[in-house]
Amino acid sequence: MSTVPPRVFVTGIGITSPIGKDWEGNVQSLKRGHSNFREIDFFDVSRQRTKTAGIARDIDDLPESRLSQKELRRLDRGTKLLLQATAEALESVTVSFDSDEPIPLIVGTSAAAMPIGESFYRQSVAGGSLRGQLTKIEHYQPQRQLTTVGHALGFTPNALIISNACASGANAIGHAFQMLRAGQSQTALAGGFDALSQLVFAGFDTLQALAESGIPRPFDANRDGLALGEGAAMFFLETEESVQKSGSTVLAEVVGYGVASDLHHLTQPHPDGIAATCSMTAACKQAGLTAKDIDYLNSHGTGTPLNDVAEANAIAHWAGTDARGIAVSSTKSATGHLLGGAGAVESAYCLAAILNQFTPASLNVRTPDEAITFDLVQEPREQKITHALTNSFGFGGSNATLIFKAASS
Amino acid sequence: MTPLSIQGTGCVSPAGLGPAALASAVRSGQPLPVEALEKTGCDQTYPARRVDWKSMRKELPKSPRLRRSSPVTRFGTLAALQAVPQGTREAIEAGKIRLGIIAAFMNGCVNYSNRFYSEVLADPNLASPLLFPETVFNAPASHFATLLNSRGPAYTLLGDSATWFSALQMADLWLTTDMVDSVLVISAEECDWLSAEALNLYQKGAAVTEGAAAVLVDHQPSDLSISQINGPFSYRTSSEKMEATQRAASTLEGETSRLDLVVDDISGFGHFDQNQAQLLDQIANQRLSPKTVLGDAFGVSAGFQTLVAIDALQSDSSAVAVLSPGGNQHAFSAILTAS
Repeated sequence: MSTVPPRVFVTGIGITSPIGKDWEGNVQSLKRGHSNFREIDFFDVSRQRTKTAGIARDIDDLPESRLSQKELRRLDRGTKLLLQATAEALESVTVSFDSDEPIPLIVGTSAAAMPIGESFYRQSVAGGSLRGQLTKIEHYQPQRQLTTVGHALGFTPNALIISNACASGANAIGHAFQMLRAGQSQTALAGGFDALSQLVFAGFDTLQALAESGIPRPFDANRDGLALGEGAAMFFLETEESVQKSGSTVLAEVVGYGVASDLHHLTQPHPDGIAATCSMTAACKQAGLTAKDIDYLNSHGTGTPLNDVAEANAIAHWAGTDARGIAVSSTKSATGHLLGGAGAVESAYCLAAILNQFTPASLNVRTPDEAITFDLVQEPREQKITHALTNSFGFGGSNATLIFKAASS
Repeated sequence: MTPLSIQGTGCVSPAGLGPAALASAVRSGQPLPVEALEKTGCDQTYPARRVDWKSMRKELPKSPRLRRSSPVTRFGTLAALQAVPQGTREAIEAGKIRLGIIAAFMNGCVNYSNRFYSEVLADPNLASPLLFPETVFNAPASHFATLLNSRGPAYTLLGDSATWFSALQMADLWLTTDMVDSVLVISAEECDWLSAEALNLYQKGAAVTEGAAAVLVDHQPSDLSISQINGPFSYRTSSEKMEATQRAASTLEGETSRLDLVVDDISGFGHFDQNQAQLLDQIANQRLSPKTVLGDAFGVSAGFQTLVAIDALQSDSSAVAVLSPGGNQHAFSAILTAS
């Protein structure tokens, strides 16, 4: 019996973000170097230092589903994003589902349905009627968001929710990859989402982590913070055996996943990026690659002074002199930081780079930080890309790295 | 799955510190005293069974990480330190044991979320930046990793009360794929009027409780093991929940001859109790129901059940089952055995 784990392929992808409602919209925006930040108008930001964020486009333009009008009215922003991305991911999938056979649905999120929780809280402290409160508390729970999406699209999910802050989406894809390699399933849906919410926005504002200008400039020497954003990306993963049966079109292969914990501080990375180095090294080891083999690196790159220099130091340590040959960008400069959705959306951008043979850019950089030893991509450009790596470094020290490989190779 | 060997356990509960105190209270069958949990700003109260933190706080190690931490972190830390023996901690710190940590929560750091959001509504300019980081779901796991000097994976899972078993299944995957040598699975909850109010919308008069459960598992030989985890049996509606619970219970039917005990999820509230009782009557003569003694522990409920099962194995049982129907997501059953 062979002990070689099965190969794992991406055969479906769906994405919604501030720069595009779907896959094609995102690809075009990345190629053109578009960003999208505007003032938040769905909760009160009048007393916040920063008032803008990356806001998802056409959030109410939902796919056809089994949800009734009443159920549709109950959906929070996060569930809408997850529904949009999951529906698109399943569009191209040729696997036939037995509706009674659950599909692993592994999703990363940080805030889940927080706006519903906020609404529950406000009504509760206001006193008076309990009308609608039970429905709110039911739909506030993230597992309910996932079962709603499954119900909407006609499948039963075996839901697993990973909440490792900003690494959640990457961890979800990585966990699905591990499950398929271990033979626990032939297919899985995995990804991440997060929607903007008042509590989380205010939280980052109190930490003074948000760029006062509203424009994030990852890896710029004068960067002043991050911008929050919202979005979702979902991947349909299949083993080689499943692909042979289904005849699905392979978009890319998942070849490496690494994780490590940074113990330095709850909200700050170790200045040398030790855990980041470990997660990149582990992912490369699993993929049988070295830093030299990585053509494009989608960085965590939040735009905060501490994060970017720690990641730059980690890349320098991990890649050494090979760093010069690695094209690096932070697409958070275009979308903002999508928190639990970031790792999944940025994995999708790695696939966009592989499938379209170009590198997305780090926008708004005027003076690159002196810690940079790599090829910082400041304008989108055509480039041959076989291997793309994405980093996600979460609050609390959850570091994750994923590596994708072009299907043709 | 490969049986998960149990190498350590830890617990904080209203019954006291340690799994033995929990199990003793549950075996007695006497509900623990209830106190009134006040809702801030009004005279509404909810029944709660609280951890006697004053008697336990001296056990908490001194660490900058714990200075402003939430009760879930503190309860979880004490449970973790019981579950991971000193010698193992030294081996983890020296890099001789690769530890993974999986925390399973339903509510998470609800005390600080409640406080922080109330400050945001009052004036976001004056909201405390010290509170927000502790509201994040994975803050406790980050603290556990730091206190144990573990640089391996530290995940936080969210879900209903049965998600503890998803965490154990994830631990099995990590061990099977040689990602780590040992996994600490941990769950914790803290009482808050917000979650108590939510529970009382489902079950009027139900008491909430708090605490933490932890098990250290690996694939090395051990006298005690979790030999089967059956599930998830996923569901969305109440009728599907009945069916899923039945499927979970039916996985135990072939084991009835060797099962000494079933630790169930019966709470004394709601129509799901009757469903469970009927299903389990056929499976084992002896049953224990932690929720009837403790109240609803949300995400730590299945952890408490598991610790009660392990305690029974350490006394006189050779095979014990746990049935966890969950809340609104998935049902599981498990069989634990002593060799």
